[in-house]
Amino acid sequence: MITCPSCRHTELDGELYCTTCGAQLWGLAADATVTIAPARKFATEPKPNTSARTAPTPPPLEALIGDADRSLPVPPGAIGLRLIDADTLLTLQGKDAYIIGREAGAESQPDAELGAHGGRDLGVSRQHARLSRLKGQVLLEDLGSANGTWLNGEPVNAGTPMRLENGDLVKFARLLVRIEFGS
Amino acid sequence: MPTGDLFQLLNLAPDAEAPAIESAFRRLTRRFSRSAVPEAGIEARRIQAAYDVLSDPTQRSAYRNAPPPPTPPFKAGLHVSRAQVTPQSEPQIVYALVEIAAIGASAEAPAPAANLCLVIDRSTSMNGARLDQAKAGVNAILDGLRPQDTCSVIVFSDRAEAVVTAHKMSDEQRRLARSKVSTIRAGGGTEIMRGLLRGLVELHGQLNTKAISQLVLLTDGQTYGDEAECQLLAALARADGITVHGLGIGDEWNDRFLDQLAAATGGAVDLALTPEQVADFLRKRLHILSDLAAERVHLDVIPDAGAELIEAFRFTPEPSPLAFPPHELALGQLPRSERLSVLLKFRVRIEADGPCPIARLVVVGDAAGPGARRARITLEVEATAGPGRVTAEPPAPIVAALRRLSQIRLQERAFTELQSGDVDEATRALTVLGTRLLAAGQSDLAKMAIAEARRLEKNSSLSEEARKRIKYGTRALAGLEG
Repeated sequence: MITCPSCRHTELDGELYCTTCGAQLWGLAADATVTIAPARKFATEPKPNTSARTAPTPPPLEALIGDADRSLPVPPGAIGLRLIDADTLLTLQGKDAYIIGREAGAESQPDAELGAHGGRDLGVSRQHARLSRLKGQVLLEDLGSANGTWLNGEPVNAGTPMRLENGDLVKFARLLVRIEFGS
Repeated sequence: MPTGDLFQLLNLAPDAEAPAIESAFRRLTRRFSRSAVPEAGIEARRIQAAYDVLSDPTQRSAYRNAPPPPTPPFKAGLHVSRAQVTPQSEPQIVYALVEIAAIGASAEAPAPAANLCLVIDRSTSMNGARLDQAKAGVNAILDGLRPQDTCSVIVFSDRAEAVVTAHKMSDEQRRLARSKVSTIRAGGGTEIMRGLLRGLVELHGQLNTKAISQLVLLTDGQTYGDEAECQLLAALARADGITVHGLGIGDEWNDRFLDQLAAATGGAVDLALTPEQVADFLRKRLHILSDLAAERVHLDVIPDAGAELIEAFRFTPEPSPLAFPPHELALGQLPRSERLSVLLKFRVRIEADGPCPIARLVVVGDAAGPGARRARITLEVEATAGPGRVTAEPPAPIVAALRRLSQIRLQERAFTELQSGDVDEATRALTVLGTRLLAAGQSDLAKMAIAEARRLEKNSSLSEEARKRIKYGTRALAGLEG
């Protein structure tokens, strides 16, 4: 049996897309993190935002449907990770710290599973980064990932947590995510 | 003597000798004697006949020295989602994508004649714009017919009559047909069986292997109590090589019923909301004539013991779910300019290591053009079972096909959830469909899906028109490459 990482529906082995939510089910159990050549890693990096705390440029998605955000609101108190390319919202709530990565077997499931959304091909590590709540703030730290984490274009170093704000753009390796706090 | 390549029938190379022939025959006979579908018996008899020829040294050498069978007008290829599987007690899923493409430059062959029947619903609800749309569509297609084409027009309500009986389309016949079509008036109930039966009778009088027989049903309604008879008629039509297509006008027609009817014969169904859409759908029936490589194409699926066919979908040339049983899937016509591609989903039980055959597929079709001949190509869906988790990625064409199919499943799921009363789940499925369509660059359909999801959230109901537009919209997308 395969459990869909997105909606938890179970499918028979060999199913390629979840029959309930359409999420990709193949490639979930791959072992190694895909290593991205460093040159490419930097070449695709967004320009560092000099005024890091201003609102980031909205992705072109919203140009098509003005209120796409409201269609899937982040519940109050939760942290939302909007995967820009997959157009998927992952919500995290109920814990003080969350591991972001990709599935590495039944015993160590990350809180935010990016493997099902192309994370493996985009170089996301199994234990890639951690989001934690501290004194009303949300902090992001890299967990020594193979291909790095960026906040609004600036590298996030392992062991040095950075404060997140609503609308920040974070890249886990090459996977782009917008942070959305539930109001 | 059996037709086709006898060695291919036994999965053998053309230079195979007695021991190989013997063991291939035993292996295949064992496989087909354990299959759960009746089509296996037919295939077993074919294999027996081939074996009777090939096992006899004299007949075998005579067969080898005989002129080779003509090359089929098409080739067929297969992608399987997993070449390797892990044995386990639970059933597993294996997908197979069959692609059939025309070969040979038969472009100079004359286009076959059309044997066309248009069956028009004239029930009271068709009154006004709907009937006008249908008439305009019929007139457009009458203009497109050539002198060698035959066409008839049937109207039905709770009874059926031939407004135009089957005739070759001379200029005079065309004028006559147009004036008769203009006299059609609406009135009465909807009994599709009557129209269908009358239409098949007209087509039957003109059946011939050089003409392409098609029946197009234009209706805006539901039929009551005669669904089973209609299905029976569809089965008869298919046996005669007649393709039945359905065009739903407006939003009240029974799409599931029409889908089943068309799928049984390899036909297509679409939704028409404008006169142009009616004319376009009818024009497609004529377009195939000048682009035909093979007709009466079907795919026989013979699952091995422990394997079961659970879903079949044709992506191109016209996207449509396929009906089974019988496990002889009607595929309609193979165009020269486009592939015929079909996805099959199998549920298989694999409990031991080693090679595991899943199904034999036989593509059968009649070559178009003079000297029309039947061609058969045999394909085997198989995997190898071994220990250890398999991580190889599925072939790209299968992934692309399933990605498109998953959109169709999402909309189906939204509507079945809604029918069973779960508005939240239905809303969610429609929203996910919207975002996936958006990601696929289909912004118009995406907007519609998301707008309907909102409406559903607010009103807990969905308009029939929106449901059908999303259904046939996602289906049409499945036929696009990429």
